[in-house]
Amino acid sequence: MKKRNLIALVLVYLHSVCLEAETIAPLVKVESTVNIVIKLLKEINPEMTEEVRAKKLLEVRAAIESSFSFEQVARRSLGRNWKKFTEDELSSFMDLFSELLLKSYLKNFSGIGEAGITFEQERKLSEKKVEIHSKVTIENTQLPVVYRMTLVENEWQVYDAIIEGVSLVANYRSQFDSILRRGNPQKLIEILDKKVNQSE
Amino acid sequence: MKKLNLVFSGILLSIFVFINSIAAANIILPEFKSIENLAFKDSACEIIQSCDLEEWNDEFEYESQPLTPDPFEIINRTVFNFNHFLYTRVIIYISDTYKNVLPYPVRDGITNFFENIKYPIRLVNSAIQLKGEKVVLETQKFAINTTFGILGLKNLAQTQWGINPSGEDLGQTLGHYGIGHGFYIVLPLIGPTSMRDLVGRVGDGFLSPLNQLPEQDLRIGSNGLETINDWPPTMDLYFNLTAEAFDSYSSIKDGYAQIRANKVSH
Repeated sequence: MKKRNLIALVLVYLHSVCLEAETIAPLVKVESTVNIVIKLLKEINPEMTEEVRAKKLLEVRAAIESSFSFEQVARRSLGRNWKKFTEDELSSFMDLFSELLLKSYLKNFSGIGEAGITFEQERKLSEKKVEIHSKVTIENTQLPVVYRMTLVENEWQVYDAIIEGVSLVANYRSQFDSILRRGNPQKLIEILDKKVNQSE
Repeated sequence: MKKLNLVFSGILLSIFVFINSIAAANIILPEFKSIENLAFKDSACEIIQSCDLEEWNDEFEYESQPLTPDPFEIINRTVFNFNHFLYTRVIIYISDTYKNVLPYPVRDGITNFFENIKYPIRLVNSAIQLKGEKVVLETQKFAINTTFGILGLKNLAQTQWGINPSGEDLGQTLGHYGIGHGFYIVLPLIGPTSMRDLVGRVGDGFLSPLNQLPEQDLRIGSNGLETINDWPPTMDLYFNLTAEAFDSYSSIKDGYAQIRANKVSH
């Protein structure tokens, strides 16, 4: 069992080293990451010890972070509100929001079967932005999911997912706008903190 | 009853046109297509500490999202909280019981039946929008599902022939011709809508064969069954969205506006 874990860790490490070596095409990158995440999540079962489970989740986290930029999601979700935050507030916000995003991704990827996701095409939006179109099949229903990626330090990173026409970043932005219109950054951090504790 | 419906929709339409004209006159949509178009370019560059066009586009990427004015936010939030109470304390139990009594294939059959019978709504709205291809696809879908699909209980057009046009309604038709939402409304029990979509809903009601049934009991019964049959997926979606939301009201409002904008554009 330990040997298998070691191999998996080495694979994830090699995967991230490969990603560093050259700029991988955005579609290839997001497809391989999503497939690795789904595969790793499938390996998690109730018979695992807490320690093994925690290790497995670390691997999943590393795989997600290789293609999904929490900082880009956070920055775009806050928009111009970003400038209302002090450095300490931004740091707390980033920690909490990243934690929640990770839990949300884990929850959503867990519901997808191995053959349940097909990547269809890549559409160039600008020199630094592309859209990756995919379809997720859950039971008998097909959901169109579009990943928006941007070039950050020569790496393609996902910064938004548009599910059935609903952009997650735009949705977060409308919520943060509403909270910050009626309160201050501290209020938003409190809400996020409460949410993190709720989901634990 | 029909006269009363007509008067009610007339009043709704007048209010809608009035409010929409005010909204159109007063709201300036943030269309920051390019930094060069901005009259206040220099001070704007200073605010975001950059004049890089790509960074500007990033900054405003989500500012041109569908705008749904919400002048009655206080009332809407109250109704939203009332609905949340109703969904969590009453509707979820009815929905779960219904789900346990009727297995998925039966519920799916009922959904397909009601969708099929509302063909006139989708046909007329596709035609008004001059979407010829959709008129043909909707007609093919109706013909296949009514015959081979046993009165529409099975959606064979989609599963066997791959015919699945995105349905049109009057709200989308009004949106297609450039009419905005007017303002956002949360209806008791029903949930999110807008002035435009509410007018559309009433208008579509006249085209729905369910409302042409001769007996009032039949009309109420069929509309009631359709509503209850929709509750399981609607409640699942509602609870999934609100569980992950930081401000459920804003999340649902934005989700509604994005879904409708997406439908209008297709």
